[in-house]
Amino acid sequence: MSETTSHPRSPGFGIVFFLLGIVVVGGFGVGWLPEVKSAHGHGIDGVIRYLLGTTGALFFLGCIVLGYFVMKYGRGEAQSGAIVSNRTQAIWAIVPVLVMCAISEVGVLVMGLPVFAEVYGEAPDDAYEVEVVGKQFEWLVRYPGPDGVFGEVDHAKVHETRNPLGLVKSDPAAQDDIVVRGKVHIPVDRMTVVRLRALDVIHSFTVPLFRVKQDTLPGYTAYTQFTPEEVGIFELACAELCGLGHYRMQGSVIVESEESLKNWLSEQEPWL
Amino acid sequence: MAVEDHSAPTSFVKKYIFSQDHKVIGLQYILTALFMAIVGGWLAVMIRTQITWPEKAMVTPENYLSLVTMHGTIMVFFVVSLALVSGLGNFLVPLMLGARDMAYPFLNMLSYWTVVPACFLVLVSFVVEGGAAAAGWTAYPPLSALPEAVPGSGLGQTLWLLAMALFIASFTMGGLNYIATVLNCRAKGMSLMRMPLTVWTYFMSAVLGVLSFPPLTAAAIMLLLDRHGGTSFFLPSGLVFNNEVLAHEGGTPLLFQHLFWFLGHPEVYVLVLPGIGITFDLIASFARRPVFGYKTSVYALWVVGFLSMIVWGHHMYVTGMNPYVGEYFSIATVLITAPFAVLGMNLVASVWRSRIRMEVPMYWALGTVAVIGLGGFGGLFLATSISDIYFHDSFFVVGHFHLMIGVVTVLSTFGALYHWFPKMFGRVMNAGLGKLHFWLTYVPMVALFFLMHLQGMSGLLRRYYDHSIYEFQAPGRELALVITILTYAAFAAQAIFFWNFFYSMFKGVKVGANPWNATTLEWTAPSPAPHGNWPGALPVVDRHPYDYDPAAEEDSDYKPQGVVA
Amino acid sequence: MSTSAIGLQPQAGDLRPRAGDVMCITFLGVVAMLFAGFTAAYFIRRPSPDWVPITIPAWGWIGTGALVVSSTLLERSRRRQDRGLLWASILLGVLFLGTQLLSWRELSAAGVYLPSTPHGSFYFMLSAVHGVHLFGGLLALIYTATRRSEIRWVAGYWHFMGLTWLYTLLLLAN
Repeated sequence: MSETTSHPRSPGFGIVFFLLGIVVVGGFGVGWLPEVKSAHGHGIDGVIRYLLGTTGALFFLGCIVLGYFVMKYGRGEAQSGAIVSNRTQAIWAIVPVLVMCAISEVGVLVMGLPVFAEVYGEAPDDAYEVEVVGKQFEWLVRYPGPDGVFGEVDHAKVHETRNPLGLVKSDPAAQDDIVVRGKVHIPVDRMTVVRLRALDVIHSFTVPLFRVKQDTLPGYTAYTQFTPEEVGIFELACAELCGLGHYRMQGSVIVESEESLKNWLSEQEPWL
Repeated sequence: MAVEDHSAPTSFVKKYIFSQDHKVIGLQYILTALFMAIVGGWLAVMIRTQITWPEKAMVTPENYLSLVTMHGTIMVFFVVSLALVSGLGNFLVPLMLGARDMAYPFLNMLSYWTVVPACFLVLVSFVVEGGAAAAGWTAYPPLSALPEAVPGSGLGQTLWLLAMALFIASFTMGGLNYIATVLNCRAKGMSLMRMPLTVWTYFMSAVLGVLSFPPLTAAAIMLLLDRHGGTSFFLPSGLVFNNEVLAHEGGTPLLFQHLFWFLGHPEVYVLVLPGIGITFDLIASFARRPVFGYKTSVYALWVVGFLSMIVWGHHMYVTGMNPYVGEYFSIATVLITAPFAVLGMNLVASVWRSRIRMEVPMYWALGTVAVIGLGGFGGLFLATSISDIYFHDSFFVVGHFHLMIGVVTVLSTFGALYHWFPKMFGRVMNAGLGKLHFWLTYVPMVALFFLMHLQGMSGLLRRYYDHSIYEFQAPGRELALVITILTYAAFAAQAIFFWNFFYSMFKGVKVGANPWNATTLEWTAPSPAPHGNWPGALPVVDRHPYDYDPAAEEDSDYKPQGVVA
Repeated sequence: MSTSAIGLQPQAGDLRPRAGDVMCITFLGVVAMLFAGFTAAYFIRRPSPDWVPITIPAWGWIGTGALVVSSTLLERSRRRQDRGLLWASILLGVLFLGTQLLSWRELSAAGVYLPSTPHGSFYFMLSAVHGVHLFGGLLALIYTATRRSEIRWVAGYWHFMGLTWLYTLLLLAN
């Protein structure tokens, strides 16, 4: 083991990192994000693109540097100047700290906060309101009816076929409530606020094309808001493991014009 | 029971079964983990097969959820924790510190024999009524609390909780032992700032482990009481199953998630940090130059450790937690990229002006560095609360955490096994097979988890028995077949490792005490290291751990960290 | 070499904490984190509308007194090397576990069972978790008393168990 040549060298290994950098950056660059169909979704996509650009560039740079080092220093030549001062090492720690703090906090604060305000801010008074309730394994959708008020519910009255949400008959506000299975009808170009509840376990209300995802917790009312930009039918899915039928907890969000929404609502019978 | 003397055992049982020798216990952990890895890997193969050809319905939905849950549980707690943290840690920490053994050898033995029944319970749970636990490895109530919600939440979930309790007890004993050993059993001259980075990372990992596991224990106790005692810690009012309202009242499911992730996040670092430490040591040994930024790396480890304890909420952005609290967690979480960038930078810079010897462990070490980069940057997408709205519970998450706590840890474990195999058995593993094993593991594993990121970008959701009924998941499904084939390849390639490992144990080429010309203390002990590690006096440390000089003659380019008098 | 004992003690002249101290303090940290987890759960659970406060059983307070006296006797036995006092301290520990059972009976006599109210659930659960940890301390004390081994760390744990109970009781009572 004393001969210099006996140590294995493989400078070509550096190519692995060049290839990795190219494949990863190229792979993400293909554009896998489905086209967004909601107002705040552009902001979310903006943050994602910003992170793809910055971290992609850094990752590519890192791959090139590592690959270059392996090729250059993998040939077995003696190297001088490997030992550097504490000061240099400290500087090369401060540089990545500053770069990463800047990149990441710009993503969260500069890019993120305006979107945050859209997603979690106060909804306008004329926002359209609808309730979606998760249960194993379907989405129950409730419309407040002509009075615009969601009536009282009592889970003791829940019956899968007779009264799936447990509407309370004695409450006048509940009497005109409309309950539909799996179909969320909402207007286009107007903010929708979805009241989210669950009857049994945790579900998650997900409309990927709207970039919407919000868990529905039993015993708790959550809200999510978004403004669809296009008329059409969009798939609704459950993102939180909720049991055997998790994968088939499919629903649809039907975005239509104000007029056809009004027509559709007027055709519906109150549940009670 | 305190730091006491113990003699070399003479009987077979005391030597190989109820051994108190840290090297034997380390190997027991590693072999147990390798066995569990076959089980966990097979579960992954079945999961992939099901979601690639859902129309064949190879398993039932009940079984599928059990597969997903138990794959995660086994891989995190009974493979990576056991092989990397408990196994290699046990073997390496005393040797690298120049100690005879761990501070508490009896406790060490107890910790191993506590985890064995845990493994047994996990395996048995597959064949009990209702099947194994099926609520995900995160075990969120109410799903995990009520057999009405999913069949696996019957006896299977109870066994899961008991197995976790035993695991936590074992892991806590191990962590306490590491901390006491590092603080107390260092060789003369081995100051804290002279410890190899591997030891530093095991120390940080132990500190994080002992601080973050107890709240999970609290959560597990409360979950058990909710399941069997009729209490309502996590179960809210008005849960309806089969048209009946349950009697539970007023609990908060989010409370469990907070307690779970208070452990769950630091647990990531418990697993990843030793992988990074080992990578530093392997790179130093084969790049033949001192680690770049030893001090800044140690400081970065402390910052990572501290930050990891206060950012658990980034797993809960869309759970209904107050979004302003989520925003705090987001701001804090992305800060972790800063110390991590220091570690990554130092790893890359440790190859600068070096003279690389491309031995087998170096393949794994260099490969790990790139994965730390890929996995680390992917984390930013999930840590930023806004982009996480889209990525949460998608395959992007699956790809990301597999890269960090799956690939980084597995690659560094393999690298470490190839590197320290001579110290375990006095022989080296076959280099040709080692390289073949590297290529057939590295390429498929990195490729498949990278492709999962792309699936996640396209919107594919995780834990789905069948994606085919959704139009929006169709683009992501196109990649499923490739990923599955890569999974099969990576799984099958491990046969090479098993052959190499067990064959070389008895038939490998014999080598001397220091086959790699490495500096750290374990290489001053004979190979294999005897009971008590050094036959005579202990080494005395007189320098930092990485005294390599790439400018010197190849044979005299290193100075061992310590000398045996 | 094969049968001779190997010294595990660090070499002389090196300043470092005793392994027992490190072990003891870290383990106290583990127990503290466990109760911190329960404390967080307590404060998150309490605002719920179904929270009906219970009256803390008198036996709980009496038990606290037993632990205080037990710790005092333990310290005195350490100083005077008096094993009789050590056994007295152990006896008080056993008495404490007895008062805990009586406090459970007191609660159930008042109609409070484990699932009845969340406050009651916390009382039963925390006293049981603490009781298990205290029982471990009791075994260690008995081991120390019979084997005459070093008492320093066991004593530290015992005092900590007393403090933990006092803390738990104050948490539950406020």
